[in-house]
Amino acid sequence: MARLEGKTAIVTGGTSGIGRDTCVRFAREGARVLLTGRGKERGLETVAAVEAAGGVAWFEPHDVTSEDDWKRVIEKADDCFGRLDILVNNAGIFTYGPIEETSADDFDWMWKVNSEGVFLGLKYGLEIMRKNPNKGAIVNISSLSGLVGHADVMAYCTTKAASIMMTKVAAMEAAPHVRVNALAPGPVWNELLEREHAGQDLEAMKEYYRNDQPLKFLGDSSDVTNGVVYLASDESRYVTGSILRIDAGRGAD
Amino acid sequence: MVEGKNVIVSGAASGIGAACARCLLEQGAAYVALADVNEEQGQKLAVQLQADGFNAGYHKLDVREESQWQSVMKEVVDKCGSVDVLVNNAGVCVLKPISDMSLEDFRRVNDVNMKGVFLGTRSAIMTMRECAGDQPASGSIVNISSIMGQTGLRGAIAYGAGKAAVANMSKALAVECGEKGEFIRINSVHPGTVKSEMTTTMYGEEYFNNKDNFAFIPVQDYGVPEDIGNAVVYLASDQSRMVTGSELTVDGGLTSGIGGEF
Repeated sequence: MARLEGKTAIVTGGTSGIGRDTCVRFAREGARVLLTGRGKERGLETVAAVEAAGGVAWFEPHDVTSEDDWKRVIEKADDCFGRLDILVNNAGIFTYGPIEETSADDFDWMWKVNSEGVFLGLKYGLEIMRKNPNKGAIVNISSLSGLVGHADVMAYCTTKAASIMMTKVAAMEAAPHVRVNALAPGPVWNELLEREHAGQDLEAMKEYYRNDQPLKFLGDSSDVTNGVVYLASDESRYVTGSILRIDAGRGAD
Repeated sequence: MVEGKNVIVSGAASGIGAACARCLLEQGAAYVALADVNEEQGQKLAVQLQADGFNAGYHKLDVREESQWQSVMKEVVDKCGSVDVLVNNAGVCVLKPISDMSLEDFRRVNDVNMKGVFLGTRSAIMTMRECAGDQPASGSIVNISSIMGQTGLRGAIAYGAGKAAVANMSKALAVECGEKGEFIRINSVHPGTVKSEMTTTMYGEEYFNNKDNFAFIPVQDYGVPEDIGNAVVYLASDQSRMVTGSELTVDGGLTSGIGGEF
């Protein structure tokens, strides 16, 4: 049985990676999806992928750092669905480097996308979800890097820690009508990681990631989307303010 | 979600354990061993589940006895060929101030809640290894801890200590099995206030009929055993194949932060 039957969802960063796979998975689970992102062409590719999976999706251009864009995206969701059941704050960026080589501009840009983007999503998402007679669910895609420190990953770790705390605070404010939870994935092999290591020996990189964690299993986007489906569905109706690590045991080590 | 899996649930005769058993069967489990110290209630549930068309059977188990764990493991392997999932759910709760908490109380709680989980987990891992032969062992162990194992609650010196121990045993074993190259995953679930036989006995039916008693929980309600059952299904299934050493809190937001007006 479809686990999100009849539900309506916004997925930010639906143009690639975990976001794109979430859209396709949501369609298979019976949800209609408004996917947003910066690249129109890639967005329309996701729409086509959703349609190929037998689902329905719309694309709306979206810079998550822009308050005006959020207002337009929410209006679009209202037009498409008349209500919003699920919001997946997935859009995010990643760069790394030693502190001394991280410019204030680099830090600022990452903070805007990964933290302010989530803040604006919570702010405008909650507004429309509170009007919905159905209970809603927000899932923030944070990271294991928001729970533990990694050398040379200061800006990303900081912004992901912010999204973890925003999840907890928003869960308290949004209850009892809307649930807010976060996933904290470790590395998963998908097109983004593949691009990150372009030109390198990809099999060797996979081996590196596999061995760099207690459970010798390198997951892919589906491992994250499985968690998203659980947290977005009514199966988790009593789960809010929770942070679920999907990290092959890295954070337990 | 758990098609074909052979499962053992301890403390399965009632409450959260019974809900876990039913949820797992509804999601396709091939067999669920209802392991419980209470034979009458366990047999009764087995009959009910069988009448609903499910493949479940009662197995006598006092979780404090290693030999009984070994017997249950053997019974399930003989019957089904493998043990794929263990849900360590059996538990008892005693809440008392420290002045009234005797060493005997402390041991009574933790013989079941801590030692019982240790023995069950150890027996299951050994069995999963035996069944795997030359291949890396695989399986999923889900330990039912509590939010009292993560935060302090008045009176929970024995219960909280045991539940915290369960969470950390899960993490230590997740790392140990993973680093050995095995695919045995061990996670813990942390329920908040759930209406079950255990809590109804402790607080009374009346307590759960008054919604005002749950106003301190962000979602302003108590949870039901199926809420824990759904979390257990996710962790037992291959959908969580990358999840090990994780804590999944199911508490309606209770431990999300500190209450009260700012």
